[in-house]
Amino acid sequence: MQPKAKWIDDFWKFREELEEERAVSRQGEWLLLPQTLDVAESEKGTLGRADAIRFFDGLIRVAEDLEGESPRLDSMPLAGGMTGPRAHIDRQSFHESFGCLRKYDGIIFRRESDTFWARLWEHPLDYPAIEAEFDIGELSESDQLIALEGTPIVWTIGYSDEGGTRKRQSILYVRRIRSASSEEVRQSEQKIRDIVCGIAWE
Amino acid sequence: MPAAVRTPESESLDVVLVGSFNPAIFHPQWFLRQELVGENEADEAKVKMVSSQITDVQFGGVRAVCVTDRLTLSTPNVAFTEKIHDLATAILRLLPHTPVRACGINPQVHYRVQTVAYWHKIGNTLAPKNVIWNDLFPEPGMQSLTIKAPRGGVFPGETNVTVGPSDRCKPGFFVHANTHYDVPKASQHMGGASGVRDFILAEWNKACEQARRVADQIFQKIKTE
Repeated sequence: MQPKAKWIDDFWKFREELEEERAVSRQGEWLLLPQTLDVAESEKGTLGRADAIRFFDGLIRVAEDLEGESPRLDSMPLAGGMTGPRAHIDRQSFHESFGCLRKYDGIIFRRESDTFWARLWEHPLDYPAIEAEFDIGELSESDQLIALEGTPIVWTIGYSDEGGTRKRQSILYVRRIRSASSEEVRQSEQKIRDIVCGIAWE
Repeated sequence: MPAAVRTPESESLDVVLVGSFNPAIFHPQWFLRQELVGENEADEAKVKMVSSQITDVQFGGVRAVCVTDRLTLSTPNVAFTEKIHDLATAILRLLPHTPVRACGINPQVHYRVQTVAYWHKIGNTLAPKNVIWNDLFPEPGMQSLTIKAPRGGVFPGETNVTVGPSDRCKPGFFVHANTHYDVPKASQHMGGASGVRDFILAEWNKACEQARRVADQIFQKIKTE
């Protein structure tokens, strides 16, 4: 294990260099963010590590990627109970996965107080579209307000794995798409008229 | 017996917009005010950070990460693919003067295969070892293979596809597809956002299918013994 005094010296030297660099240019700006120590690591006596991130030419880079430009901060053991800086790197933080079995696009064509009906298709050319009845309680409160006739929805059936448990899921997504403006409606109608007029009927 | 269950074990999607952004805007309450998410989603959002330099928030199955030159909308759940579409196009509509230089639509699928032998066969077919590698190294294996293909049409660009061993299902492999579009230089600062919006509207379905399409071809062309 690296002597404690050594990494503290390295860290403060690094901080001084950062301050000097900041005085020269604002282009590269470092962020040192609070670290959350891993309990397992703590028990092993190697209490995490210190990283820094930097906005450099518009890109986020961790200190260890900037060889030759800054001292490396990895492998610096932190003393027990201390929290040090750590970079939060842009990584997927989701721990779930979802396998899709069936996915339907559709439109709500009827709505009653506790129920709504939707016309659904897997592919746009599917004919006839299937019709399905859903309990309004399957939607969140805010989605219930917009689940009206004409609202597009997506119904996905699949299974998800979360923490080693596989679950069958049915997910309804009520699309929040802006209504067409009167000008857009007019343009669409004109386009349809142009297409129809362009067909050479025999 | 089929070599693999053709349903992916996992399927995710992200959309990356490259340009100049103000990360501080993208708070869940902004999405709520613009009527892009419901009250429940905004109230239950996980806000890791919102600042002028970096924003990282999650709501309704979607994660939005924004730094000054990049906005990424991602979901690990394909049930919310259309939500990503709706959010990305709405952001570009609501912030039309944002200089956007490029966009990538990136689906990723992970498939489990039934036997290790078939898994090796896929790797050996995509990256044969007997020509170069077997003479140089013991037990060489394919870690990652990327194919780049130009794309024509109204929104020209390139399609990059990466295949490699899956870290989620073993034995298994993943396919990551990137449908990339660069806004023409002349319109990057004037109308870049609307150009990218048009690209998303036009290419969305095809781009989202790319990873599955490649995987289907792998299963179709590489048979079990």
